[in-house]
Amino acid sequence: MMAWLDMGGDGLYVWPCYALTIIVLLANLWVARRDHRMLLQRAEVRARMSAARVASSGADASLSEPHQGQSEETPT
Amino acid sequence: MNAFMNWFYRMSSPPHFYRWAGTAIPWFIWPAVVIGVVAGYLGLVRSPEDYQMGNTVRIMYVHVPSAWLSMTCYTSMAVASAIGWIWRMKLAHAVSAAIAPAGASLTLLALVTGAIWGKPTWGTYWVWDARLTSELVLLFLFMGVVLLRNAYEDRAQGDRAAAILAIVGVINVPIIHFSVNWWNTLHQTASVSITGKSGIDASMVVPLLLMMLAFTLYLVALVLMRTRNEVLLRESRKRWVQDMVAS
Repeated sequence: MMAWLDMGGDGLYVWPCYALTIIVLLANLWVARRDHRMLLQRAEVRARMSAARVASSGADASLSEPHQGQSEETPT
Repeated sequence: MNAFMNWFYRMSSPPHFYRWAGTAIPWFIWPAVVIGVVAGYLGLVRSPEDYQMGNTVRIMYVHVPSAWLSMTCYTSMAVASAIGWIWRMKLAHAVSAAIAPAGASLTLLALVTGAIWGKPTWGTYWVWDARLTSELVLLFLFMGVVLLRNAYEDRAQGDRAAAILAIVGVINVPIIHFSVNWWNTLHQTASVSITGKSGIDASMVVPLLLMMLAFTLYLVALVLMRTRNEVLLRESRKRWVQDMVAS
């Protein structure tokens, strides 16, 4: 086992390459998943705000949600 | 052909693509993991040492797939940019934007694993030979495409500028590929050939080809994930996104 890990001294070069490869491949996936969660959250906030805006302007009462306080715009 | 054009046309609809990609991703990622583990086992345990390079030859199983994919990524990015530019297809620009950082990361990986491999085999981490230099230029091109796209306030303008750079830069891909034949490089010439006879034994070719397949499947999954993110970012004000997150 140790001999295999050492690879006659070449392990010093081989293992860092494999470690870096795994790090880069996993980091790419991790970033993509993190961005996806963040974008969904952002879209959710936006959807809630526009629903609240519609509700507070009285244009469509059926879309009323318990988040009306988040609306930053006052209806004209 | 008609069926393909139909599929292509439907895929250019962002909500359709978003849903389709969501179901397709696991079908690429899990085969990539399984094949990658098998290829890693074959490459690290079962394949023989090289009579000249000893065990450092095992670096090949990660270096060659990442280098090969860096060029495939660039070409795909240029094609996507061209489609986006010519047919004004927004989704194609989103694909191009999704590929660029992923391609840059693989180019960097190819350069670094190559440098680590260079030390014991060539006695140096880096030389300015044609292969290494053109691959470094590829990294700069990827980075340039990312930066140029983000340099514009207007997304459509950024997409167009990035598309021009991506398309012009594609000239570098054949330069990388043929550099080892055109110039007297320290980097060796290709060992594996699709058309002719491969210069290395099956015990090395099999893990190498399997690893290239695993990397390719992984990259398709990654680009699908990243394109979905781009679609969400670009369509965040659209009705379908709002309906999707509200339900």
